[in-house]
Amino acid sequence: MSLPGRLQETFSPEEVQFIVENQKIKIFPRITTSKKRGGDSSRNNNNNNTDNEDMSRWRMLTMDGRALENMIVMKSTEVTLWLALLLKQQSKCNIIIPEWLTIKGLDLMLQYEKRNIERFSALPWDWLVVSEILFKQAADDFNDPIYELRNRIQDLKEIRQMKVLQGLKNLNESHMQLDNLGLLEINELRPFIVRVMDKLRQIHASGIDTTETENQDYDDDNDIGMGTMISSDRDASSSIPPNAMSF
Amino acid sequence: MYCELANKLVVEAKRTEQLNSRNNARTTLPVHNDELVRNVLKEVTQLKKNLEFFKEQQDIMSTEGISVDSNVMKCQYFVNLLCLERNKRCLLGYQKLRSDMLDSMAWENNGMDVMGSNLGEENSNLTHQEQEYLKKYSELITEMKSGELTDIDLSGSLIPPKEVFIDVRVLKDAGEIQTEYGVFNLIKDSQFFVRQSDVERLIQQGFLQKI
Repeated sequence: MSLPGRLQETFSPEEVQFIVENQKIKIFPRITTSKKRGGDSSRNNNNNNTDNEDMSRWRMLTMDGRALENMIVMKSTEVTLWLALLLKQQSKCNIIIPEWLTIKGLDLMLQYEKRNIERFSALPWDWLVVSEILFKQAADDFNDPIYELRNRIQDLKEIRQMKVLQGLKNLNESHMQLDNLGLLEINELRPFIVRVMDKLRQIHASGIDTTETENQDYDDDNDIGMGTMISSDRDASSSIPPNAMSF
Repeated sequence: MYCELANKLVVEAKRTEQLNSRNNARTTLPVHNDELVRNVLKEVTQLKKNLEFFKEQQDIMSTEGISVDSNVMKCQYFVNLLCLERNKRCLLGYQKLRSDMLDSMAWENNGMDVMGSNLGEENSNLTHQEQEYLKKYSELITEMKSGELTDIDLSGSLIPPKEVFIDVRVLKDAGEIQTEYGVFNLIKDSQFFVRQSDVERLIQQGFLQKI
């Protein structure tokens, strides 16, 4: 098919990163792009053509261009993460590390994780990816030593992994609740959980199906998701005998 | 036994599927099992003959006024029909897997290679009909790409871009390529710092290696 099988039911890690890179992040620019009032007006006097002036300005197709036009050196502004990384590569900005990605913030989360065995702490949904990216590409912008942060991130990851494994014991055919689980964590689990739950649901529904056929009473509207599957199965099994009879 | 041959086909299909799911490399299609398919078809014709024979018998008996146990007759029809259905399912499953693999080949390689060339190495493993199908399918893809969506390289890389410029190493000579920034002469074992979009095709064809 046009899409290879491994991409058909889940995201690849690269795609997860791609999604995360559309988040906003704060930076300290090291360049100034906003024009001074005086310069601006003189420019307007020179060629009374606003179009021309617009052309010389940066235009962003994918995000609000205003942030990019009004950068002043060392005045914090908010841009999308991919742009921040691009500027960072050329050392044209410093990335402001988010609040939760400090020793203090992570320690709070760790404490919460340890205290509440049945819950996940309220880390942002992209915590794993963002921390990974920032450790790699903005290592010099951290105030805290990176190895400490890395340790804590690793701890958090392992604790949460344990909780996930505990939670998997409660897989059932109807629902599950995964508050505050990150995108990458969900993405790792998705193929497994979805498949197992699908099977459980099928088994469950097939039980319902037999009782239904015994009663000769088909009401599919009690479970929409399964309704289609049940009905198609039933069609397949019931369509053969009438054909055979009419030979 | 009834439908055992068809089962062999399914088992074979399953094996090819597993082989290809394990190594993520290029999909390879094994030889089309002509003989087995032909035998299954033979069985199908036999079953069909049986059915026709039953019908004749029933007609004769009913005209001669001999009472027939209709339930027994119906059962014979039923079992025969089920066998036919099963054979059909197995054949379709086998063929569907092969056509799916052909589709993915058409998407992966054909758009990248020179259009029109149809995977020369694989051709021997395909039946005539499959070759025809592959050709038509890649024509369809080309048609779609030249339609409204010409700006988008639909069969291009599915990995999201990370960096605009990348380092590449040349694995085998590719001649000269023209980019926006001039001509690169790709000689084996040389390295370049180029824009990713310029060399994506060459990477997918295996001329370059991304570093």
